[in-house]
Amino acid sequence: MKLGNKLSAFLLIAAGLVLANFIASRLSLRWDTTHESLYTLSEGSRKLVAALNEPVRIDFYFSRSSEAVPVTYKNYATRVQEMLRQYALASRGQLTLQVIDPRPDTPEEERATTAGLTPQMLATGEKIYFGLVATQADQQKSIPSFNPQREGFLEYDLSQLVFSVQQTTKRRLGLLTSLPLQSSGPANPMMRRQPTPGQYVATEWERVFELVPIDASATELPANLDALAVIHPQRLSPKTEYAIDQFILSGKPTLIAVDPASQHFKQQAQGMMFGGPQPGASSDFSPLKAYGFTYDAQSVIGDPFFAADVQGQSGIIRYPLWLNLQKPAFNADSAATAQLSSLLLIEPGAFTFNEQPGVTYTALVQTSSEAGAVPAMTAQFAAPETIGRELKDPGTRVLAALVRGKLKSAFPTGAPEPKADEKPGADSPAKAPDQGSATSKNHLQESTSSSTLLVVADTDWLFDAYSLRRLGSYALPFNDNLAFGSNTLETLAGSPELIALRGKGSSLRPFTVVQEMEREASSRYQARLQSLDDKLAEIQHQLTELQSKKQGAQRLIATPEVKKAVDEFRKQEATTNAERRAIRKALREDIEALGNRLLLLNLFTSPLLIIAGGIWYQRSRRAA
Amino acid sequence: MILPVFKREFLGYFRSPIGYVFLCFFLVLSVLIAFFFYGFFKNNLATLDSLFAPLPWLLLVMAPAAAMSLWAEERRSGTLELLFTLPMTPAQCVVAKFLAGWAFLSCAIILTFPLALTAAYLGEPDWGIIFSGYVGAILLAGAYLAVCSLTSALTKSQVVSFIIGFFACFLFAFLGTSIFNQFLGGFLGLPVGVVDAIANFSPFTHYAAFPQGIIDSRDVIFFGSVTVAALAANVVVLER
Repeated sequence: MKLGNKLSAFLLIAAGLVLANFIASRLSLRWDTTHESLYTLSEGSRKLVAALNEPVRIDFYFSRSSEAVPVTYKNYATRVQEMLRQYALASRGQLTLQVIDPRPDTPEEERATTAGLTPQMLATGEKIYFGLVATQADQQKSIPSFNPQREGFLEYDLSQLVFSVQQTTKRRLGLLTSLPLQSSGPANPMMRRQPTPGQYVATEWERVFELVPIDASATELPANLDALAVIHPQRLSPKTEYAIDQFILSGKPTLIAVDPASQHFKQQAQGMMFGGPQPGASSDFSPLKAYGFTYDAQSVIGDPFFAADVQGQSGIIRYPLWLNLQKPAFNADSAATAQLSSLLLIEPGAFTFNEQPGVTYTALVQTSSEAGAVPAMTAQFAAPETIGRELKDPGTRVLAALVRGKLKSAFPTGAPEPKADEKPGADSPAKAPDQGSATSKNHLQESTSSSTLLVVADTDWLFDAYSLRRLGSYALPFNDNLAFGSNTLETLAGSPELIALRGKGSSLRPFTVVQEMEREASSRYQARLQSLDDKLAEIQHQLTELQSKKQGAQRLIATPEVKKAVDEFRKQEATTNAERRAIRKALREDIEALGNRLLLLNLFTSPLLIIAGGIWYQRSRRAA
Repeated sequence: MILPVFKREFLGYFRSPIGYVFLCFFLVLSVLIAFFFYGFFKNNLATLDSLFAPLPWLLLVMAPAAAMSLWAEERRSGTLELLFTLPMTPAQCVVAKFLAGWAFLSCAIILTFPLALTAAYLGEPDWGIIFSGYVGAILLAGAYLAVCSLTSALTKSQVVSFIIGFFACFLFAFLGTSIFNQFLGGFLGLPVGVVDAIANFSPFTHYAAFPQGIIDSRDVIFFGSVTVAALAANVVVLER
């Protein structure tokens, strides 16, 4: 071949290479090999977009032309764009996607800012946009900025957005509560009452819902409710409970929060000058039993592991009845709890499930295995420092749970009969005698389709005092209580498709063997470590006592006895400390030894295999 | 006619101690890097990220080593002429030699399996992700090897072949690094579309998705097309 021919052949090859890749970049087939199908549109999202009946436009903003954008961001943006394309495909034309590259000082950039996108600052000082806006009719919702670290939740975030942008009218959330969650409205000079400010969580809920307050004595729920929240129900009449029961069975989502010890009512009781009948701080909702829950309104759960730091009489102490729950306490697979990192529950109760066929029970928030129960009365009067010793029956407790499936009515015989002594007309005027029989006719014995019920065994977490600091109109949360409040609501507000869409990809896969070893080692050494710590504290106490004696009476001359005793204690302290260090080291020792064994095994297995194979091959060659 | 040449070349790796040393060196190094630089055990996570993350760099050295003897040795010892007297086309010969080298490198990669078994013993790894990681690594090794096979055909010396091959692959990989892209965009003032197109010709860019569990047709076509193009160029070089 001549040189010229060779050169033209090289050029042809190069052109072919570029062409092949150009064509390939236009069409993309992907095989998602992950176990959880992390990067594939799940059935829930497919159903969600297939059900769209109004066109939705999605503007995806990404500053792709910016030089400083890291490759990781570009790759992630490509994946987001592909995910969006999958949505568009699944929607059969109802969802249109527009990809916009907002360059600096262009109308596109202006549109991005007015739509509420937050620019991200790069290390180089450049501003980039990476977010999206969904529009349907005059509704607009946005994801202000994407973060590659949230890739596991990408699908949930997108589906949530597509779902919420369709909600042109606010859904109606019935709120039945004995707590002052909502503000009582403008001051009424005629009634001489100051308005009570609401809690921030209610403000959050009002963003998504039209809140419909329900009187605790109502025997019927307002019409056209989309969801219901029953928070700290107290002494509800059977009629009210029946109405709630039927609402739940109708398949509409319901949140029920009960509390064995509400701080709000406890404080009110303390505020009263004289004893009198104490307003009950506990709440109960008896139909829960029919749905498979056991809940004891008389006992409070404490957890030494998740104990919160509170101000005691002798300084800050860890108070086990206030639960400062962290990541391990939350169900990582449920969208309602997957993103939480801390929750503060105040003297909560607990649920146990009596599993029923056709119903799935999912624990959302759990204590550690060290948790125990204490009677609510004891909790009220015991000293905070000693309450840890009163905890009985240690074991993991469920503090919040999601129930889905075909529930059975708590009123198998139909609507409860009005009691003979019940004064007619005491309840809402809507209660006409013939209406009772009408509801009996429509009585539901079982969920019509699938019921969704979220239960939480505490109500104090909804209060601002335990969740945020207010700075003017601005709320600064100090834990995820508020996020949990919104999440529970989102779980309720969402379509069943959205609820089913669990927070994908959030579950890391840890070395379970190592975790087990850690647990085992710490339980093996914990008692020994504790006794050593006690011994050390005792020695130090005696040392300080001796030294103070020395400084007092025998300020100048230390008697040989005291000196000897001090030396003796010093020696003991040193040996105890050494022993303590040894145990701490032993805690990790087994695990480190395992690590070393595995390293050696990995280093030598394959090379030995190769050498063995080599020997066999050389022998067979010689034999041949 | 491909099979006998393939067999001769593949078994050739195992006839001398060099092949064994090569395999052991690669495996020991990958395990040491996984444990000590990427914290395979310390991270406490049942993934093979600590194996797959440094692999493109490791293969950058291994592929030229596996390819250096493919053609350079034939040229030096003068067996190249003999090879072409066989009743086969240069193209078949190139493919057979490439496949032998690729099979050898794939053996090396697959022999890291004790790490996967360790992860499975300690926890529950996502086998899908491990599978796609291995697929990506083998495709990447193929692309590197084809490029190095081409550079091997250009010289008589194995050492020169190794060095040229290493730098060719290194340059190729360097296209996708952010430092280089910033240099192209910022310093040379190239339009971003051109910079992205250049970055797209880096094997690193295309390898990235595999260890995350995504096998994308674009990535597969990229590695396939680079391999085919390099082999075609290899044939052109050998053609007289």
